[in-house]
Amino acid sequence: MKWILEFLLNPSWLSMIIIVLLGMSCEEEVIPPPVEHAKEIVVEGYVEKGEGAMPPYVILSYSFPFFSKLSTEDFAKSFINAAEVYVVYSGNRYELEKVCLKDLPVLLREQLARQLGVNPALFESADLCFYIDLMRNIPVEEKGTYYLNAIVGGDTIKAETTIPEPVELDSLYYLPVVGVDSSYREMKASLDPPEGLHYYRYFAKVNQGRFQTASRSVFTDKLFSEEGLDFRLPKPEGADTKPGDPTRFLYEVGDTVTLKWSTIDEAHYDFWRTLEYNRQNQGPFSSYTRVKSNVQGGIGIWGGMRYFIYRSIVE
Amino acid sequence: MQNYLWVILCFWVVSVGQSQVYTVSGYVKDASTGETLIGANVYDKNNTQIGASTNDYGFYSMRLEKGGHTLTASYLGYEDQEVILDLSSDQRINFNLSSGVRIEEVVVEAKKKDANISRTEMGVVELPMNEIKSLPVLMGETDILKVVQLLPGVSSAGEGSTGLYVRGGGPDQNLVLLDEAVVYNTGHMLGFFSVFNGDAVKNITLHKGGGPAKYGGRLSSVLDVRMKDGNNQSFHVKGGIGVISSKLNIEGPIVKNKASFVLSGRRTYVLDIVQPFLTGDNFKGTNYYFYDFNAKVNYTLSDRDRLYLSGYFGRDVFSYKSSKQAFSVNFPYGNATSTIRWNHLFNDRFFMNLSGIFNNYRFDFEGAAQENASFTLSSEVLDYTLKSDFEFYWNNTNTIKFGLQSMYHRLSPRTLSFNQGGQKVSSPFAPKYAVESAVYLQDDWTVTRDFEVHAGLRYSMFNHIGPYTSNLTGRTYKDWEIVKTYGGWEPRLSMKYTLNANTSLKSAISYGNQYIHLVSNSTSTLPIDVWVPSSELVPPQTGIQLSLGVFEDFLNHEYTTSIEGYYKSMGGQIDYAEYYVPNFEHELEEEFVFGKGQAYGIELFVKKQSGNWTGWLGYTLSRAERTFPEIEEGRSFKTVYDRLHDMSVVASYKLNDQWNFSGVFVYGSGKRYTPLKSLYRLDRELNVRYGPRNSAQLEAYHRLDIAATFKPKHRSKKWKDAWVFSIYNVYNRKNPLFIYYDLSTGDANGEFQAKAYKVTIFPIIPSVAWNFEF
Repeated sequence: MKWILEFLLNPSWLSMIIIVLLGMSCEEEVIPPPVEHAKEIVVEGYVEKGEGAMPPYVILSYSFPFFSKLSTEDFAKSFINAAEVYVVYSGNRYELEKVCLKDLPVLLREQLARQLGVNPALFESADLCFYIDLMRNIPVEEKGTYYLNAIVGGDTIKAETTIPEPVELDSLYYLPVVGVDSSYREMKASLDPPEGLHYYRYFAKVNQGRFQTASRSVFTDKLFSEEGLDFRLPKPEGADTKPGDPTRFLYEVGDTVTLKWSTIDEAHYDFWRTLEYNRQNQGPFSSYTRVKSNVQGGIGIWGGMRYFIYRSIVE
Repeated sequence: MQNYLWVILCFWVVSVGQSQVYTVSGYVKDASTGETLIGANVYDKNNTQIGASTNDYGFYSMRLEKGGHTLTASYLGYEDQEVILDLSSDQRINFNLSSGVRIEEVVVEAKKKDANISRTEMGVVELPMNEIKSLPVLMGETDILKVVQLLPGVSSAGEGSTGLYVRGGGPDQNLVLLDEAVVYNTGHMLGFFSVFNGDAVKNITLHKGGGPAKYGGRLSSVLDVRMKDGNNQSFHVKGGIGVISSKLNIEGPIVKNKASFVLSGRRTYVLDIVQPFLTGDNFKGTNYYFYDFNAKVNYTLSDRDRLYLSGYFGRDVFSYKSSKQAFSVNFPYGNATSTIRWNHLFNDRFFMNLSGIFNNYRFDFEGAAQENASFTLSSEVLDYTLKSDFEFYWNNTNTIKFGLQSMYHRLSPRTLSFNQGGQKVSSPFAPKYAVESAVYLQDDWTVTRDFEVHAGLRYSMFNHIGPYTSNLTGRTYKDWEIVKTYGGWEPRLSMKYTLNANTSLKSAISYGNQYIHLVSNSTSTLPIDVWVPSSELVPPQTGIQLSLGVFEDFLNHEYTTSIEGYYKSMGGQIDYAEYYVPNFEHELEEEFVFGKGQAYGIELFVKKQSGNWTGWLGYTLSRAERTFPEIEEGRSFKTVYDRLHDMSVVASYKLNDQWNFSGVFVYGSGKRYTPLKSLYRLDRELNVRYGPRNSAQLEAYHRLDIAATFKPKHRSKKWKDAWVFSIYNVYNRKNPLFIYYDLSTGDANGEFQAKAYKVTIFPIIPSVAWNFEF
């Protein structure tokens, strides 16, 4: 069902109507007047519980002025490597260690780069560091609340997240799609959640690829009936996806698909809900939606999640 | 209290007891069509201080002393008519004014042209259809709302749009009426054309403010559009063929001088024509068209009773089909209204109109895709209204108007249902029900020869009623049980002081409440924007407006000018929360935040209203701001429709009986938008961060349109036609509709720079339309 919401909530269909109706629009590059920009600290950190979970970690970086010309080096330099970062859990303080990727063995570096979503080419030119509970000192527990603190120069960053209780899928299956190449299937899931409101985020990877998220990766079970609901889980769009390709949300028969199905807290959900909408929302009918961050003193996300891994072969 | 009633009674007795004073009343009509004329002046030529204007139904009433009088009736675009009478009793005098010409797009010189000076209300503009039809048009479509946008104090929602922003108010703060029925969506084709078919319209009056006390429910303006009654003298067919649409209008008598009808319709066909060429996978089966239909009949039951029945039905239909994806969308939306009215004269000084009104606005967004999956998203407003308006022409210095009205609302802002593989899910949002009622009393009082006051008081009440289950308390309300009540007094006061025959000073103050709201999360006004009622969570909007103006005419009223200043303060303004993402999990009202607003400005208007050259210049210097505690951390910001400068120049030149030329030039400060201020890397992607709200402006908007109207001579007097040649955007100005950003601009060296592009939609567009009449 998610495709329906995606379509309805994406204002681009209105632009499509305009284009179909008028067919006479034209565009040209402009340089808008500059907007005052104060460098902000960006936080991306997670506390995960599930199969193969990373220890709690945080990446810190600076934002850029919107119209600045940015080289690979500029991106690399944007990472903050001189911060004091610690997490408070159950009244105990746990320091996160600084790990600089260029100091790691090549194999581990590439593996970490994949998990962190960083281009390995950046390591060559940059002193790219992140902060991690390398020795797994922090107990990662369901319903645990984790307080992040980072001191960068004179700035203090604070954030809080909770790992929610787990909600497992009842089943996962694949169905052919009418009117589409028969070698493709859509992934469907069945879920009968326990009482209460839950927030979900899912990731998927195909074969040996990396985990990716769909353009709308979070949702709740507020509209689920008492009997639960069967719903589609569109395949995340990769960089090589062709717009308009009817198979872009489908899996190919024979693929091995790994689904990472997580529950997250409300603030974590709000961050992705607003960020993903913000990413798609431009044009004459665009709206003004800001990204709701749970980070005080900066922007970004400090997110807890409890997840399950489901592996299946598309049939 | 008892003493007070005695005083009123004595005053009444004295008034009616003036034995030497008689009542002259009647209707003013177009001689050739029998159409009643709204706002025509009837006055005693020997004492021009004694006069009256016709009401919305063409009726006037005045008191004159016994003896000889020369009564004159005048109306812009018509020849004056005089009647000499020796008055010794109450008399009914009907005037039939000749316009001289018919479908011609020419403004005929009028004799009585001092309305600019003599009218007591401020911010009121009447637009005759013949004036509107003479102006350049987009794609051959005469558009009432686009002409209204050319007036000072009124700005448009953007390139080509029919959306109205009046004196810094939002698009929902305009009460748009078609034969008294509220029109909730005024635009076809996503707002590029208005729903009003010029051939079916008789009169348009814009009140930039709350207007007289009989109007209510909106803070910023009233646009009162009246449909033609239909020619009660002879049958006429009128039509037009344009670039994107054609139209046909038929009117005639049912019983001559007693009953008539008018039927008018139009339909677009631009995409019908290209259907055979839409053969690709993506567009085959894709179509768009709109149509609308107006109908009206009226019947004169007696010299005291008239019945009117009118209706409008319009739909936009968009369909999109993609054979590859087996995906289809249907998007029909539109208004339907119907009005039945009964005019009754209790006596020659006491007029009543009783109206029963139905109106409906609905859009459905229906989609279907793979494996029998389908969904429908709907939004609807449904109203039933009963209202009565009374006018008592007490004497030549006081006209008392009073009335009451009650409107039943059913609003279903969003209804979503989807079906996939037999599973059905519906949004849990039930319709909301409400009753909006009001009573009002107004006195149009000529205090002295030079000083006039229109003082009105309105009391409005809004009851949110059941069935309803409260999200706050969980309580369930039964049908008609009151959930929440709002109400309040709404005083209106307009004053005019005439300095001399060519100059007057005017001021006005009005206060109003608004209980129905259009809340948009978009920078444009769209048919998918939904109307929501006041409720437990949504308080009414409130607004007070002060205005002051100087009105001056020159050269025997050939030139009229005015300078008006206004200040408006608004409460209960509604917007979406900064973090709002459209969803179907929460009631919309749970996503709102509330704040206040202010708007102020100066309007300059210079009009040449007679001669071969006619036209006007309007200029507005204004500001419109909003403040919400939960937006921008409580800092005030300018609205999307804030325009510091807004100017329109309209000119029309009649070369001879065959050729008429016209032009429109508009200039406005650029539309405001929220710029992007920074980029940040997160989740493997570059993400954007907004700067302060509406802190940037698009380029200034300006455009020149021209038109030439040619009327061939024909031997037959009955057959008339006209060719209208228009060029929209003569110098091909690339006015931006919006700008968008491209973040995927990394080059081979790995360097990245975000880019911005402006999109323009209307280049130079020549068009031709052919109109005919017989």
